[in-house]
Amino acid sequence: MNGWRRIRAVCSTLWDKREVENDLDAEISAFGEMLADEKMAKGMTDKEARRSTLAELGGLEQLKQAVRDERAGNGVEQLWQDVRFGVRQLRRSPGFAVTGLLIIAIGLGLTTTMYSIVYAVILKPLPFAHPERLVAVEAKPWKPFSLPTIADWMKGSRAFESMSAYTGWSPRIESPAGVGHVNAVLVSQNFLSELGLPLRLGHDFTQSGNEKDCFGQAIVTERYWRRMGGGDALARRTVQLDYQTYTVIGVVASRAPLEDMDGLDQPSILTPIGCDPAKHPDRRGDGSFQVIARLRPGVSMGNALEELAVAQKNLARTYPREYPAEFAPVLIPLNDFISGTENRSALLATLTACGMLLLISCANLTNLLLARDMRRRSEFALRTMLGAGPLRIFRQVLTENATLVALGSILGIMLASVLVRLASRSKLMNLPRLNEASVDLRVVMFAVALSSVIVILLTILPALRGRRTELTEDLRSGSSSSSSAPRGLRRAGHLLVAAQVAMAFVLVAVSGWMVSSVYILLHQPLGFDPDHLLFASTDLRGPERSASIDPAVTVAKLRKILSDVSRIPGVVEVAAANDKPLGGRVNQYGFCSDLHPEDCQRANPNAPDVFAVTPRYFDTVSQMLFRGRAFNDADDGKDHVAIVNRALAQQQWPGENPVGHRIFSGGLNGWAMVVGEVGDVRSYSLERAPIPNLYLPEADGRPDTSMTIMLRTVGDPSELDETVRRILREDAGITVRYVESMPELMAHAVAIRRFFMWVVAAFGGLALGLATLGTYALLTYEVSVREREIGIRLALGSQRRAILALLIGQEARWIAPGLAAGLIGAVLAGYLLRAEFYHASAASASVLGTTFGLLTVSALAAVAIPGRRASLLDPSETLRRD
Amino acid sequence: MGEGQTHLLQGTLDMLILKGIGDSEFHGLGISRRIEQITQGTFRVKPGSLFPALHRMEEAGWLTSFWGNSENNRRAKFYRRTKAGHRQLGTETEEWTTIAQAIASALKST
Repeated sequence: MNGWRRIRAVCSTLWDKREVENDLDAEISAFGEMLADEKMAKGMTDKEARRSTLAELGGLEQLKQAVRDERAGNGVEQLWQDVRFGVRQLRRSPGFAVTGLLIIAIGLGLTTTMYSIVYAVILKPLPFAHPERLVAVEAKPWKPFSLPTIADWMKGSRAFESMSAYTGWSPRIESPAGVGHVNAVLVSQNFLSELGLPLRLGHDFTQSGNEKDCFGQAIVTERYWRRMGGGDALARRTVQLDYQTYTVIGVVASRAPLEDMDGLDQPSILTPIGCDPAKHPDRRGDGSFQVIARLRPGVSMGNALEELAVAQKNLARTYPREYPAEFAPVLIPLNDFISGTENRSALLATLTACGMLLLISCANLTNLLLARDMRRRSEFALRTMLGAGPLRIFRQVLTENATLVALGSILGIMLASVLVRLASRSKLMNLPRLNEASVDLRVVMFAVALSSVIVILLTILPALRGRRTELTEDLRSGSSSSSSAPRGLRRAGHLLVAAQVAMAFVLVAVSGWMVSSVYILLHQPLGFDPDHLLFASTDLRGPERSASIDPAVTVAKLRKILSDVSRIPGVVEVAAANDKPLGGRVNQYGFCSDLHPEDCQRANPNAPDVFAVTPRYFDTVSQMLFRGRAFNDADDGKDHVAIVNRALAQQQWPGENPVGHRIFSGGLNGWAMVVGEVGDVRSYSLERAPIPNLYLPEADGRPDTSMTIMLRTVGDPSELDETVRRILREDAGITVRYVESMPELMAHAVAIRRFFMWVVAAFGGLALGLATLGTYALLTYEVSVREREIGIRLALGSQRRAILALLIGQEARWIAPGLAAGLIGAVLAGYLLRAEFYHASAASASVLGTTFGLLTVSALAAVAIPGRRASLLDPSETLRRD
Repeated sequence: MGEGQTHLLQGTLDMLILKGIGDSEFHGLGISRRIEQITQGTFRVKPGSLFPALHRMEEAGWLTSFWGNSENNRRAKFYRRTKAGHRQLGTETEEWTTIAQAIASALKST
């Protein structure tokens, strides 16, 4: 039969159904009449002939059904019948329908939302040419590289097609879009061509190597271009960055949204390295660049890394003073680098949590379906009696479930599209490329695949049970509601409850760890007092940004600012440092102490981070002074003095008093006397433990021009924000980068973690609720079918307490293994997600214990309430009911 | 099949119907009687097998049908063989001959 004819046949079966049926009717009755005619012609009476004909036809309905079964559209028609029956079935029990639809819609909606986010942030290929060949180069123990290092790597290996360098800066910008600060990135001239970034307008930086060819040039992103007024003409469009004029020579197309890429410093503007005389990128020790490399086609990342390691070994041999022996480069796929390893595991963990929640929902729904199937046993038995084969019944159940899931999935996809839109617009989650998330065809396909899995999961258990149908028993039980439920069903129900308990255990434990991580992060001792602390990041060089500013001028400017802001009412202490605590800026110089002067002869991987601070700094941030003294105004460089933190003191002079010892620092280019020992602070981030720090007076040597003003206030520091800005702006000699309070910074630092904490905690709560509800529902059902048995027990003199104990004991046999499996799963999940948890090991046991208690109590409550109800049954009533 | 009747081999019914109709037109009862006649009463096709087969073959395009009047002036559905039906008869006959010869030779061998 050819395809076209088949389709036409199917259509005529479905569309001209009435006509086809009438035709069949007429044909068969004509056949009967002719058969009767024939019989009468042979001498039968009218009556005899009719009876004999009917016998020969063997039932008109069966005959017609046999013809229908042969028709091409038969399958489709039956499917349609089953769908309609499914919908009717749902409408007949609206409570079940609403519950089922909601369970599926929420479970599927959340999972689909999460998938869409995970896809946009992690899985979606970067909008660059051949993104699979792009890698980010990192290194241990530190990352930023110098341009000579990068050039030598390129020379020393053949695995790379190109390498490009970049580093972020945040200049003051003046453009048609207004005045303010902007994220910019300095890039090597091959940066755009290496990534294969599409330009909407203009051209790439010229790679002639001649400085004049790229001097004062900038490429902006399309988003910023639109803010500047947009248009298709580049002529005479300029921007001012830190009071220098740059000509816009190109616009990056918006399908490569650089602004959303945290790993690339979210730039709106790109300017070339090596064209700005204020920067001196030729020194081998000036490691301030990050590297992106493109592998040659066919070169694996492993091979590339081997070659790079060899090149670095050779470099370390040639320049032993520049590279420590253990310095080793690392390659990361650019996609992973941009999505961020931390975000990656957090997102995947959340997606897994969604999946588990969905599984719990499915288990709950299966239990509901099983209970409903119990009530429908007589219906199925009747269908079997009327000739429906097991396959036909299976198909009916499958279609019913598919109808339910399909309706729920449509709701779920609608929910997901709302949630994804909310998530991609929210500033709450600062995830790279999040705003590219949308419910597109791929996501819908995911949802469809997922709902097919749900249908199969929902159908398997009831179908397995359905096959064991014992007709007579089921038919009989249709009339009396209180017969005992079959063992198979009860076992399946208990198994599902145990599985729910186990999964809920894992989710609750994980959310417990998340909550305790955030709590510990925000409440751990930091080494300083973050409350009532305001800071302002400034550039003392001012508008000219001249590199060679007189040290005396810098110090005088700083003194003036400090005395100005100290007069603000509500400010108790002021000081300045070249970076705030939790700031993450690194200044490292060659270092050695009087005990190990040989350390100065090589690159010292243990060199401390160096901070330049003003007098009263330790008082302002409330950092503990253990020994010696703090800096004062007399420490102006006549005698070099230094203060060490406890970690550095332990490292250099274990067990000794550091005061009186001497250290050498490349920052001073000389030896200094240690005059004090202070406590350790978290200088990088909340997560990172304190490391050795060296403090030098700002007034000594060449003062740092990039200084953070710290203010200790009486009241809420953010209230002084505007005042501080105004006073600093009055001073034309400096530029202000940003003003922020320390609590704000900390809240920002834990924002993503806090967001995931809320998500996982919500999931944990939902899972706990669902599992409890599932247990409760199952036991309520169980009690309802065992009323008679309980009645007999009571009538025979069983104590009510014994009934309760019996029920709890029976449930515990299932719940206990569930809890045990959950415990194992939670420990496993804790191990897999250990990077997400902060100090999880410390809180681990207590979280597991709490989770165990929480689940046990809620499971017991879920069992005890129906159990108590059962024990209060009046036997004289339950026994008489049948 | 009733008693005294030989069971119809699977797949041979279509061939018998196509052969029985030949180049003329028959209604259902007519086809049944015709098959009885050409097989010398060995096969009597019952309506339960006949009608599903007729409808299936019509959908397959081997038969066409139309409404007409029977010899007793009753309105009945008549079936006629199409060109495709003719071709189908050819292939089925060929297959059948091959099978029949093979089985015959298998039974004759010692």
